[in-house]
Amino acid sequence: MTRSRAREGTVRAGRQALVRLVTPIVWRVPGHGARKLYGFARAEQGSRIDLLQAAQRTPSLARRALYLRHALDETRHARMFWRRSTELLLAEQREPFTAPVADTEALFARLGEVRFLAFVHRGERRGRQQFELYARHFGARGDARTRALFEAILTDERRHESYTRELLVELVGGERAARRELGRAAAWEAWRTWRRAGRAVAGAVYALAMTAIYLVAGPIAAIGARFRRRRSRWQLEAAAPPAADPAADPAREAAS
Amino acid sequence: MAAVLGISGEYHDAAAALVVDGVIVAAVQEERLSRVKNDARLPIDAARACLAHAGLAAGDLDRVVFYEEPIEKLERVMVSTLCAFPRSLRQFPRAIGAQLGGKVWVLDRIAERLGVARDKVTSTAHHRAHAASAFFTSPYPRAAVLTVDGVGEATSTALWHGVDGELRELGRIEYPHSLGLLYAGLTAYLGFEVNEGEYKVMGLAAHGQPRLRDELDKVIRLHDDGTFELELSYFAHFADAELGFGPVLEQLLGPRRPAHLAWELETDRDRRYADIAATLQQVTEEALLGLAREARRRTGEACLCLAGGVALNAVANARIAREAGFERVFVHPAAGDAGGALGAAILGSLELGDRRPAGLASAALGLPIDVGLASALAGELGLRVRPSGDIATEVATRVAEGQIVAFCQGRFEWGPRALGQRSILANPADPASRERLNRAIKRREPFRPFAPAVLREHAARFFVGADSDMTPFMTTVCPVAEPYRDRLAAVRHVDDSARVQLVTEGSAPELAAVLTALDRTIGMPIALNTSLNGAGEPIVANEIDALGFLMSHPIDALVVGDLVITRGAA
Amino acid sequence: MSRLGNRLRTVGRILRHFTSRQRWFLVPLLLVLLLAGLLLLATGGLSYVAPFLYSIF
Repeated sequence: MTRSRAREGTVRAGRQALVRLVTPIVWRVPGHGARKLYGFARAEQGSRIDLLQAAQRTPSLARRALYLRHALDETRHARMFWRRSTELLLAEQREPFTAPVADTEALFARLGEVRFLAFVHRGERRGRQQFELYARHFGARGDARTRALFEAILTDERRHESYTRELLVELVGGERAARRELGRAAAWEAWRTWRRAGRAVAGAVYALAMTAIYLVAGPIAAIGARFRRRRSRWQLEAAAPPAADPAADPAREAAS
Repeated sequence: MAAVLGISGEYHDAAAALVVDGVIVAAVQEERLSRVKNDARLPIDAARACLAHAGLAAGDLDRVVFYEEPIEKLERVMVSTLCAFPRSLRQFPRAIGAQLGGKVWVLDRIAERLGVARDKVTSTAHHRAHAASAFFTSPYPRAAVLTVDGVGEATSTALWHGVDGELRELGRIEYPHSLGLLYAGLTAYLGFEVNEGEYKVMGLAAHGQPRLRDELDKVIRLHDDGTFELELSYFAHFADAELGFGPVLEQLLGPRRPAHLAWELETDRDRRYADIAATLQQVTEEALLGLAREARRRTGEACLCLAGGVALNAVANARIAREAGFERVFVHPAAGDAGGALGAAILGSLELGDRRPAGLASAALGLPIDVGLASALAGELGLRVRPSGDIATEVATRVAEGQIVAFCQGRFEWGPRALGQRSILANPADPASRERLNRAIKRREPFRPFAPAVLREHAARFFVGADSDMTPFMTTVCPVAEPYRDRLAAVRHVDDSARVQLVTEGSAPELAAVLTALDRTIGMPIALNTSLNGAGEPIVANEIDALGFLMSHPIDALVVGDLVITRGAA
Repeated sequence: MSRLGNRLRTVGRILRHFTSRQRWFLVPLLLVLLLAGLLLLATGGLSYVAPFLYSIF
């Protein structure tokens, strides 16, 4: 129990050191800062959707109010990140990103309220740590505006981090149980990262395979297409039974 | 006596609709529940919500009908992407992956996730679902039906003859010739988001002149029999689905408009773009007129029903109503793909022997708002809640004073328009309200107009031709009567037209009461009516969304049922 | 298990569709694609969150 916590702590410290090392270099790359901020905007949007769905699904009125407030904070954060990202890009004469659109993984439905809360807490903690780093970094670089952005958001993140922890302890009934849930959430996250990596690899393999197929079948099809007339006039449905389409399928299946 | 669920999704506008014993029980768009705009994922939540609303379980369903034929779609995607070799190189893996990775298995997935026997899950042709959504919800026993959209399986446009419970297809125009894709391509060219920005292009058109007809005549050719032909070299459906148009179009019309630039219609640059929008609108209208006239010629019917994404073009609908030679025109309120879910459900229902539904009296087919929960949650959030003895008068008084009031009543609307169930109301004669709404609350482009809701009994005084089958659902525009053009400046467009909502006791009783009260206070039974949602968000569905909106936008009050909820001392 | 059964039946329907429409030439291609699709599903599937604006694919 304590060994795994120590290990986790080392991993975290290592990651932070790496980030601290890499950040000043990486953020000098033109456009990178803006892209990173846009990434945060998208993450905030995603979090927002998850929290709105949590507010819809939780049976407790008090928690509904908490999640809703949290979701509204995330909305505001997303907008702030996006705006700053746009400012940076326009200053460099580059085209800014369109409004951040996030997807949802329906986490509340998948994980249940307790694990969802643990997951959110971990996310908030991670975010808070990252943003503290960036706030310091931008302060050091003299970019007061971006630093102020992170500071403003940090106020909320700290609050989110603490309330989710308290709520988790309250829901599972104790500190130890809460830590256990956090551990399980960490495991789930690791598994999710693994799956995502797997999907990325599968995607690459797949794209390669598809491209190969395309390069073989494509020219044949293209030549064939040349002989096909591209009609733009009225086409009549060829002897179609009037409204029978939906019935045909199951009947045929039942017969076969 | 059957319970049929219709489903649309996978591409855009996922929705579920439930028809029981020939009666439309519920219809819900998934985005309203998931809070993800234009959510295209399989609408399982919406489906479950419809069932719950009707007090049914998934096992009670006799049939589930999906709004498109997945295998035919796969065929068209495969063939068209391959034949576009080599430009479609990047698209091919993605397109086939999307199909084989999920879309072609949609019927199996519906069965599994809903918990319905697989042999009860069927599909219907995409345009047939659209046609059914328009015809079988119309008040007409017989009509010509025209369905126009981007593309279904392989059809982009279809002509039908509807008689009682039967729909017969008379002809179709196939992909890649498509009015929807033409409009979408130019929407992208003008810097807007596709499937979102088409409304904006329609609004922009009134600010320009159709000066680029010669250029656009090269892009699309209209024939005498109603058909049309796209000059495909200008488009790039295969090569770049994100843009949909190719560099050849930019050679013709000039460089595309970058998305992020603020609109300044006094400049030459933006005026030219407005002209392009105006020309596109004109061409689209003429194409639709040609199709409508052909429909009249072939069917001889006096009534016309429209559906498909292009039927959301209210300005074109007005022109069709005026010039195509039909006496009456009806457009389904959810004319886009969401409507396909309802059409599919109705088709399944007719299949199983039920009668066709009665004409749609109201678009309030969603889930009801819970006033008690709203009150409790508002209290928990530290907001002020107060029941009103006469909510209609109170709302009217606030609106007359220039306040902006969010108005939530009953069941939320089906389709993209807010019709008094989830609306924001403001004074139609107050330009300051309009300014505040556009700038601080909805954050839209300055050229986009707001729309009026008017009581039916008095509509003719303020709007020309407002009493039609389309105005109860805001699917057309009407000219504002001359004497009122100045007073109604906040709700009319630069060309003096307005997308009117005709309100009756039957269609939206609470809003009707407010309008009656407004007649007493401002002398007109008209309110500015815009949808209750923030920028880029789906329309508010339940009390949680509504309270979230109140807390994050500078409106003056939120009304839920007969409760008035405010942020502080008001 | 019944999931697999459903999918296999759908594969059958797909092949029947293409053979009945005299699109025989597409069948070998289709088989290869389906195989690739199966490979996809086996390795966890692709998540197409990408904004397919036209949604024609």
